[in-house]
Amino acid sequence: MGVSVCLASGKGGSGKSTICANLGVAISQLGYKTAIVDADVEGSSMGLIFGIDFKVPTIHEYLSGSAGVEDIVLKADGVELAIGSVRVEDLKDLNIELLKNFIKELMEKYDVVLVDAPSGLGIDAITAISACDAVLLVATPDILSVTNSLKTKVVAERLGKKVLGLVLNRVGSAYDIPTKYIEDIMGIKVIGEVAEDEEVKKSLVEGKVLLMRNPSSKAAKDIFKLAEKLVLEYP
Amino acid sequence: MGKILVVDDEPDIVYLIKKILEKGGHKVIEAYNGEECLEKVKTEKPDLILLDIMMPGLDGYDILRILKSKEDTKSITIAILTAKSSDEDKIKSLDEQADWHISKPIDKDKLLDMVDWLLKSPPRKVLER
Ligand SMILES: Nc1ncnc2c1ncn2[C@@H]1O[C@H](COP(=O)(O)OP(=O)(O)O)[C@@H](O)[C@H]1O
Ligand SMILES: [Mg+2]
Repeated sequence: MGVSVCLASGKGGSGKSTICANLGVAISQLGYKTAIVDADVEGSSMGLIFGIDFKVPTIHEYLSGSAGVEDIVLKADGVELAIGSVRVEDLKDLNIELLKNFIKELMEKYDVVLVDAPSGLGIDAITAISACDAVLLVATPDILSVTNSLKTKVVAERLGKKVLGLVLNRVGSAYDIPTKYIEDIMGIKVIGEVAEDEEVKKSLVEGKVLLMRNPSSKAAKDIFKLAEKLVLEYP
Repeated sequence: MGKILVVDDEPDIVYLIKKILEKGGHKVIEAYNGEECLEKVKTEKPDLILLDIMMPGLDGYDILRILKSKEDTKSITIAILTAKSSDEDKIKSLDEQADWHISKPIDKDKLLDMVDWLLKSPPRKVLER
């Protein structure tokens, strides 16, 4: 039985999807059987990040009852993943509650299941958090993102989830709130810092995962370090 | 080095914080309730306010709302300094547009360190609501 971790944050654009994709690839490179689930059903981005054509079945088909787990999970860059559809029509007749079954099934086959949650604390985000064992918060080092992540932390704890820690993303500006103060107000450890890095955007444009396209870039190294720390602390 | 207004209804706490800040080379002004705080803001124009929440009369949240809604005071950095230290309390401070939330008790070095950072950082942009 594997462990499922939901990447969550109160705010959009903090880098959940980017980190989820690259962290998944990194953890699988470290020898763990890893699955990635795009649970941001209204804003799916895994297909774009991995550069996968949307002709394949998506998690939307599972959530609407028209496909099984095996039909959807596909292989890319050493991980197995369930991408989401980007078609508006596919948002019809979704039963988001089915996400819980989906993740439960995956946990039987994989060591690690990473779940990319939508931003905020709407019903889809709450369902994604509820469906996992643990939560990894992702924030940028500014007051808005920190405030929202604190709210997400409170909700995750109320749901009885283990909060593994906070990942600070897009770090590197003089205006960043220093990490020690963020840890102080959040009441949890910052377990990884990922640099602001142009290579992230370049990878997105090319439809290739950063860790595969440019593993020596600053952000890729930071995410790899985060993966090493996670598997060390939570083997 | 900055001019810091310490607002707390507990004289002992004001005294303690004042001693710490003065050791750090700051100029300290005191206020023992919300009304006095508003007065001192006008006459002294502090760079930073360390503001208690639970005070009789105008409380810390009232003061925050008043100062952060006025053109001439909205750019004063305000950190809540309070014994109310749950996550919900911190969220409330930040939602009320405080620049930061510091939980009491706080050790001396940590307070000086945070104050230096707050004096250096630009205040948050206040949004009308
Ligand atoms: N470390 C980084 N450096 C530069 N750009 C980044 C970084 N992390 C994320 N981005 C960019 O920020 C945007 C939002 O990231 P994304 O992962 O989609 O956030 P979320 O899933 O939290 O909404 C994307 O355009 C992404 O390429
Ligand atoms: Mg996303």
